[in-house]
Amino acid sequence: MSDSHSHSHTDVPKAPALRIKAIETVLAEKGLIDPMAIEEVIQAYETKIGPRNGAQVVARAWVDPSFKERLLADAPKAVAELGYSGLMGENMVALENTSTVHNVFVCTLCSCYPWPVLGLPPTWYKSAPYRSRIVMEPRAVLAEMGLEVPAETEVRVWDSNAELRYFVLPMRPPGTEGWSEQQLAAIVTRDAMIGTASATISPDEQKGAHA
Amino acid sequence: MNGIHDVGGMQGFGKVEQEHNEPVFHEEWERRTFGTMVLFLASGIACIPELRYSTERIYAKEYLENSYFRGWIHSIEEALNCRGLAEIENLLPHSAPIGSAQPSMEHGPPLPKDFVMAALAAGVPSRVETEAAPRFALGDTVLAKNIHPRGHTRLPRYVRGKRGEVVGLRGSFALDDRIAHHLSPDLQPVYSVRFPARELWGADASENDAIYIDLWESHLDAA
Repeated sequence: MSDSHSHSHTDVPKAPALRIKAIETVLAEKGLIDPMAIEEVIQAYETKIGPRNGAQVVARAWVDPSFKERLLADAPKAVAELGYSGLMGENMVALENTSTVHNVFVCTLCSCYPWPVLGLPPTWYKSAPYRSRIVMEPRAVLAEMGLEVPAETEVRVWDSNAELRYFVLPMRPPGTEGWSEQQLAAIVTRDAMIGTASATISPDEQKGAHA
Repeated sequence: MNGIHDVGGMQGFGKVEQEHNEPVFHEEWERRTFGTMVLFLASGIACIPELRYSTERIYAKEYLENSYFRGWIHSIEEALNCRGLAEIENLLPHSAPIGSAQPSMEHGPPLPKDFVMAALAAGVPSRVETEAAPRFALGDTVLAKNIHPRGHTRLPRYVRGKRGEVVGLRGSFALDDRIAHHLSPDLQPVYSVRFPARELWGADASENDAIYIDLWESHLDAA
């Protein structure tokens, strides 16, 4: 079937490791990618662009009310103050959790996620169980993941199906008064910024803070 | 298309399985697939909606059984095949695109290693300034259209025919439903629309809860 075409049939193996290698070669031959740059991209997301960035943003918002105001008004601009920006975060929106509203986000259609502040999404975020259920039964899913949301709190589920990318500004836990920005950043987890967890401190940390 | 990718509100997929201390990538080939994909997109020859539409057309059984990054490999293969740049027998069985035009062959030079970090930090701005006044205003009640296009759409099934409130104006963006098919960009206002959980899921849902979703203007009717 392919033999009658002017271009040649590209024989690629079934195993994904060999297949992506073959595709890299085709893309390089066609002048579309420089294979020498591949590792640079990968390492950026393995070592530089991940949820520690988002944790810094949250900690700053907790200690600096004017930064928090800028973050809620224009997240990409505020996040850029800390040096984070770019791919998959061009149109980010920060969602503030309060005593009356709990936010959580999803991409029901694929896997959209705010890369500059959270890095690449975990497998569960991209999975059919999370994507199907969080919009329909958010409280049940959150409870299974260890987060009980009080009945009187409004749960807002944000589906990032267009070009907007969301992340959650969790509530600052009690017992962290006087903590430094670095101490605060250490208790902000990826899941707290997705909205499937809250930011918490252990009883030991509470004791340490009081000492 | 009413494909397997549009899972919002479906039942029967089981529990959310979390992996403790999950690595960014599990396999070397996943790392390479990710890096290759970002560079491929940076060339500008294909757009993300086109690649999403490719993964949506993977047969449902294969879509669910195969790991995420296999879908990425598949979508790069499709982008090369449809431009005649290669003729790769796809890794995964799939349906053909419906309603797609001839794809563009235009692209920029390959992104060199020394420019990677700057390119990642710059991103690909997608919001566009337009003169057109938005049809809807904050507080308007809108109806998500009840449509079932055979091609790509970012209007998920679970909101179709449902009533919501405009709670945000997001600016204008090219409609993915067209650019996924290599059709000329149609710039439209995008709205943040709030749907009460009970409007979508009935009386069993909490009366306090709501879904917020961003919809293009042509996805909406006045209610």
